[in-house]
Amino acid sequence: MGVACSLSNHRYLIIEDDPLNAGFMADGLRQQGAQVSVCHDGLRGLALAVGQDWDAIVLDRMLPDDFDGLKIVQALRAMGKHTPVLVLSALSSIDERVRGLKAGGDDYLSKPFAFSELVARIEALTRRLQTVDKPREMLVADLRINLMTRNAERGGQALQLQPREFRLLAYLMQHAGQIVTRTMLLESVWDFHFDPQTNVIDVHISRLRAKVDKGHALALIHTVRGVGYCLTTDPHDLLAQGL
Amino acid sequence: MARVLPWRSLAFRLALSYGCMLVFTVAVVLAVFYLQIVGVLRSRLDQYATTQLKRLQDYAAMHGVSALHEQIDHLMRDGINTDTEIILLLTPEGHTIIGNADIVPARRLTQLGMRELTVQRMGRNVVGRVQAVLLPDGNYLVVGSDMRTQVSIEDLFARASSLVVLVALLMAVVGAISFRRLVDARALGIRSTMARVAAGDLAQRIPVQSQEKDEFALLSRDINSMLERLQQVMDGVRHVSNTIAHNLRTPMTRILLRLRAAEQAPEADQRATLRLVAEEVAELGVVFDKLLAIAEVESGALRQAFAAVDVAALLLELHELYEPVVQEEGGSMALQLPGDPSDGLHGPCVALGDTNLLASALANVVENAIKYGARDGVGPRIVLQARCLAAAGDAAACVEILVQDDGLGVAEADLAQLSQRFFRAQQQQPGTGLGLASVQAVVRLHGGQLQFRNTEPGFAVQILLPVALPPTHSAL
Repeated sequence: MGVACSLSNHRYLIIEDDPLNAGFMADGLRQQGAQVSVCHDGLRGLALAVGQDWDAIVLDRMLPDDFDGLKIVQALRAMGKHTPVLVLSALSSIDERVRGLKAGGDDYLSKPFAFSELVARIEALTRRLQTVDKPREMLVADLRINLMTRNAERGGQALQLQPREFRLLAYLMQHAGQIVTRTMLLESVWDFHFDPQTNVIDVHISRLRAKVDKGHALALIHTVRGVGYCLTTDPHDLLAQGL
Repeated sequence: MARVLPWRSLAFRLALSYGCMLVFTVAVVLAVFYLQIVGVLRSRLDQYATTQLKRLQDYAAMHGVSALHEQIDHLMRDGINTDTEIILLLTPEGHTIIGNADIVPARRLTQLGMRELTVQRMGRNVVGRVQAVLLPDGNYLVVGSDMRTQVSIEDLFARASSLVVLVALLMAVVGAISFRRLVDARALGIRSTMARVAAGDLAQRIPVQSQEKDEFALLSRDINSMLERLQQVMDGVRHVSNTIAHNLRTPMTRILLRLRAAEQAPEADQRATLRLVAEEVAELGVVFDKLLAIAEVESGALRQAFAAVDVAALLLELHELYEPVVQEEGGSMALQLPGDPSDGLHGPCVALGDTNLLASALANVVENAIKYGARDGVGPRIVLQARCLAAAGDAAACVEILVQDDGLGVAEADLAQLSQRFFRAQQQQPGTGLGLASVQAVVRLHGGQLQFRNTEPGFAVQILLPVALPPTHSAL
């Protein structure tokens, strides 16, 4: 599991009109080993997005000269390119999120956002591209789940999971070695699109953790402080990322 | 303000065209009358000529042509119609043998039968309606009547008719002008008010009497109620932007002061300040996002994406999401959904709306119950309830959602303010003061109602949403 290097050797394009913001994002991603190109206006961004192959594109919606970033997404999809796109916007999230995603963007993040949230989402998008067809079985250390029979077992012992707990575990395993944020979990596992003001996700994780990790020497579900969670065999890699 | 030119005025054009139509109708009626009268008069003259001629011809056949002279002489003197009748016995060249008129100049008659003929009678030229026949001795017998009476009746009729048409035309024009004045005056009241509103004075209203019920009064009332609503919205916007400015400036000032203080502080303190400031800025971002979300919901544009939402299923999912949180805090969360119809609750709870928005609003209410519903160190005991209320009286059928806790409730005086932006009943707890404001916005967007009440013990939030009609009903 190459946790620390999940972004390395991937090529990302950032289209964002504010040079300082774009610079911060690019520097942060480069520190994780990624190759990053930055572009500040819509037309050049369109040319770059369409003309080269990227692992993911980070796209601001409001670009100079009234250029709506979603045009780039539409152009990409019209050409049959499935490059994952993370749409950024200073607009409110509710309606714009839906519209952004409908235009073919794959994920949506409203400004201001935490850098860790950005990285987690880019990671998830990159991974999604690599595993287009879902495996029937997933295995991390001695934890095994079967997506067809919906059985989970750890060290040969069957785990008694509620349906939602199973989906939560499956999502964590699909993104094994990656950090997933609380909002990502709420969106993907519960299909709710709001920011809870309570520690609701933490409670569910701790219940799952009690079933999965309790009584085992090797803990698999780890909390990444201030960011989210990660299912991994090697928590030291998380520390190596400086998180 | 631009004035309406007379011929551009709708009232003027309508009244004028209506008047012209009237004049046209009158003209047609008069023409029909005229033709009828002339026809009757003419046929009477013709009949007279025919009868007289027949009598004279019969007389001539019985007593010989020479006896005709005597008879004609008698007819001219008998005092019946002597002033209008024309009787002539003419030579083939047109000279009068006996009769009461002459053809001037004398000429051979080229046309026999019923015809009009100009003759000189008592020194005057008159047009006569006559019937002429050729007698066996080669002379012509001409009998008929002078048409003066008829011509004078026709003249009279023509003069009277043109007078009538003229008067009608005059009435049409005068009517059009006065109609225009009247409508213009009514419109002017509305237009001058609108001009003042356009200039920025939203408090202006069109003066309208309560007993007035005509089109202009109705239009004025509609405009007035629209202005009322506009003014409310504008006041609301002004109030909101003031509140927002205040609530965003306060944390910004705090951030600035912290940063300034940290400039001189030792490095360890600076690091702590940076962390604090980052948290504050993140919090500001949340506030911004919520404000924008509320504004977006209030704009109403999201209504286009409405679909049927199963409220019961939504509550089930929220219950599943939040129950562990409540249990962690030592409380409980019960769910009451309409089961089978026998227990008094009707059918499935389906509302028309946006699932995401309703979910976020309901989550907000539930999280409030978790935060404020605890009492005496015991965790919150929350009841989530949904049911369908059938239509009763004026109230349409609706879905009722009830979120109830057994906490300390809210001071009665604060109840009305709960859904105002930035109002916070419990200042010591962390929060943005935007949660219930966004719930209110979402409920309003759905055409529903949001109500709060203290239930002693506890606090209840009631949301009423209009029921979505089942597709089979709307397809009918």
